[in-house]
Amino acid sequence: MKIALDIFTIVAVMAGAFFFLAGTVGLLRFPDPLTRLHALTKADNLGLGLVVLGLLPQTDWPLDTIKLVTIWLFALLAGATVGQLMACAARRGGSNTVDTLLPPNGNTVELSTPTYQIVGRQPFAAETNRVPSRHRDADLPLNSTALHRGPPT
Amino acid sequence: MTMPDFLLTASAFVLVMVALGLIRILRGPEDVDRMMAAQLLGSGGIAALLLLGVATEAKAVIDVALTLALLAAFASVAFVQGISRPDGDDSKETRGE
Repeated sequence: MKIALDIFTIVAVMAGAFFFLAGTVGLLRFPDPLTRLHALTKADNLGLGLVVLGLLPQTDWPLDTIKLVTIWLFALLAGATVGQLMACAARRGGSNTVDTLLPPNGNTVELSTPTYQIVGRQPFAAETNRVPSRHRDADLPLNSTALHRGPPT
Repeated sequence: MTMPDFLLTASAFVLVMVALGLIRILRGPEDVDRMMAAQLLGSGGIAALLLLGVATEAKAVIDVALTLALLAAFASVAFVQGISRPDGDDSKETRGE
């Protein structure tokens, strides 16, 4: 039984560490703030959750176990709240100069364009200039630039 | 390799990963991106402290992790509050799509 619990701990902690690795790589490599937020919340919720789950068999029942679960639940609550707030801030431009960057109609301007050059990625303009089809919504990348650039020309 | 050794190794690994994520603070380009790296540092720090506390059986470290969770959440909320009203006026005027 001890062996089985130890193996469970090792597997779950390694999975959690993998999610932290994935979150870091995503935070560094993804091209725009919303996709980076996606990678970050995976590391927040799932990485910490798996680490806590793996540590549960190693702690004393009941006080420490309940405390670990409480920490994880609190991190989930905080992560969900902060994720919404950060996405809201990212859509509005994400800095103190947001008011000067916004066009009069309030749409988000191309806040992700400079990062395309950093990561050496093809811009999405070629995709948005495609001939419209019935499946156009499905074809569009989930990207704030593409969604706000308007109808294809 | 005993269980405390493994947990300490995992703790160090998580810390190194989170420290690499701090490169995003240097590169920006927006303040939101920098705050995301700080938030990853918060949650990664919680995980590293929990692993450390269980590995060394130091119960107080788990309380430190709880405090860090609280502070990380407050830091992010304060950041969003700060950029939603940069000059201190009502946030309802600048919020909304």
